Amino acid sequence: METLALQHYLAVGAILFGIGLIGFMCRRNLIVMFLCTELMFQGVAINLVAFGHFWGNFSGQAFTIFVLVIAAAEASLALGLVVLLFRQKNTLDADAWRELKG
Amino acid sequence: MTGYFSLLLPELILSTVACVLMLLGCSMKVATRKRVPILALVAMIVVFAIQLGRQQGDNASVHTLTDLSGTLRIFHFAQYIKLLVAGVGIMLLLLAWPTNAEGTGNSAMNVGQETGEFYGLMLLSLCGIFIVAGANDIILLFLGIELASIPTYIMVSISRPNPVAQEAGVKYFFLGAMSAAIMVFGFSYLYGTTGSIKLDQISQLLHPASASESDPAQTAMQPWVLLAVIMLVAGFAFKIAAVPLHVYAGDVYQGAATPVTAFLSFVPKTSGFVALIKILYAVGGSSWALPATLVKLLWVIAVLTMTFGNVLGLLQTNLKRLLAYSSVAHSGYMLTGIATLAGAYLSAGQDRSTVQTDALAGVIFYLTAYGIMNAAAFGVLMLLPARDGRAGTSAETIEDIAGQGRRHVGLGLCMAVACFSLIGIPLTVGFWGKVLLIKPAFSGGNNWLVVIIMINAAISAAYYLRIIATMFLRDPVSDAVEPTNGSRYPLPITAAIGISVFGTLLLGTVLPLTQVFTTGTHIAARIDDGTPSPK
Repeated sequence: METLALQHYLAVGAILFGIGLIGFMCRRNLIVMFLCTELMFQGVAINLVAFGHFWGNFSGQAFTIFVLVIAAAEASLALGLVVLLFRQKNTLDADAWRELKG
Repeated sequence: MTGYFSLLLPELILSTVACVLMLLGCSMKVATRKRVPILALVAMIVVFAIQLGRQQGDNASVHTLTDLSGTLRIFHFAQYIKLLVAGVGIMLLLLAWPTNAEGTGNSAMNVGQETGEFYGLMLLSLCGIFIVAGANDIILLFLGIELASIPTYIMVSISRPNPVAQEAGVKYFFLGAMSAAIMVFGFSYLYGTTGSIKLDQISQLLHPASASESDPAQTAMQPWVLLAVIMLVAGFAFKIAAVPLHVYAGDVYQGAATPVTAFLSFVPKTSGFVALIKILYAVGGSSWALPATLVKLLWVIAVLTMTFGNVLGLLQTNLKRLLAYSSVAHSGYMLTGIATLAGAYLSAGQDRSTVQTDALAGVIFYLTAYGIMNAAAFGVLMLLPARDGRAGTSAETIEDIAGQGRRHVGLGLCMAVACFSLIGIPLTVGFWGKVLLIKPAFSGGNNWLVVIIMINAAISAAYYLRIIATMFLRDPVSDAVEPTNGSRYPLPITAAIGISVFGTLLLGTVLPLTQVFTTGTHIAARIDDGTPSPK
């Protein structure tokens, strides 16, 4: 049986990142859009841990912790904004907010 | 130990004061909350003074300052950027001063419940750029960029109590989160291809000292490194509002309160440019050996950003939207400097290090000039009343300012100076900014870039002159209402406009001063002196 090599992890990371990116472009529900950015961050986290293992140093894992911190900070902000949106418009559709254009 | 402490002193002051401000903001007493902006201003002035003391002239004994683990590396470039951000930060803080709430339309800045948070976040965001400027570690660089960005999302949302500001905040946040993910993907591959997170070590790994300096093969880059750099450029393109990630600019700048818009047009942009320069320096080595693919990409982004910004600016009737696209166009001008810098290794032959230094100095000069001249335009908008005299609003559309130049002559002249400088008319700092960008582009063999900059400057003149013409030549709209509160022009905002106009004219007309300043930016173009960092 073939063992898992670096490229397998990178492939998983890239696929997660790609799914997130496509989802972000295509979906219009704000919570789903936010989950898609989280998916992109988790793809990067897999990359970083795999690279850290490959190089045998801890920099990748340290970076992962900070990426998770940033993702958490953005999660709190996103949920705050989504609650704000829902209170005003009673919908989570991103297209409901279109007062600004030009 | 004190050495390492002093290395981070400005950042520590800003973040500590930000925490204190947020605590003061919790107070129930308005008198306590009124002290918040004063404390913030004092902190900014102290940081500015510290940075002013840390500017070292052309002194050979100055070396890169670094901490024990090599996480920070601070040389002329970082010191200058910190001084610039502290100086412009003072102006931006004065613009956001909680005066004349009726006239400025900024309830969050009106010593309301959010005062502490607002000014605290402002200082944290400025602190983020300080960290970006000093970082030698991609983790710290990423954290600095996010520290500069995340507070701005909140500032946009709380700046006005109406749905427009919140819509702007939501749009800005979601695109920002996506661009941050793209950026951190780039960082992960940069780490993965080199095995190091230190920028100076990455530079050494990609360009071993044994290789010859002028070898064109130096620019060859592994495809994975190239992928990493392109992802990073895409992430930074959002921060600097470059095409194709400029789409949020119009909506967000229009929706946010005017002082926050002024903040957005400088702070995220500076963090993006500083990070971009640092990353290009890391992957290109000290001779900026960058592959032709990347140079072409930067060239195309620069040209598209300039042209899109100016053409879209022509079509706007809302002045904040207009200034948003003007800000996109100015990012484009600065990107031409970056494109010249990146292309010099391949095209400029023997004098390429001169071209590179000139191009980088040009970008730094333009960033400074933009920071100085832009504040006046936003400040004047804040002081002019809206046409229909709604309570708590200031001028936003081009109709609002019709004939206002005759009623408020001083403000009209200040706006004229700002607009002339943004066009790049001689006797203003904007003119020298454009000259210093065009000169290296010309000597670097980028003649087409020069032509495109000229055409764009001409297009931009159309909409800037329209602002001035509307202010002075059209009749005032009769139902314009004068602000009713006592002082017509609140002092802090007037001071910010005054500093901005004074700086614009002084640096544009007094040639010895311009010369001193140009020399300063050339010194600031030295990013690192190559002192080995501790293992």
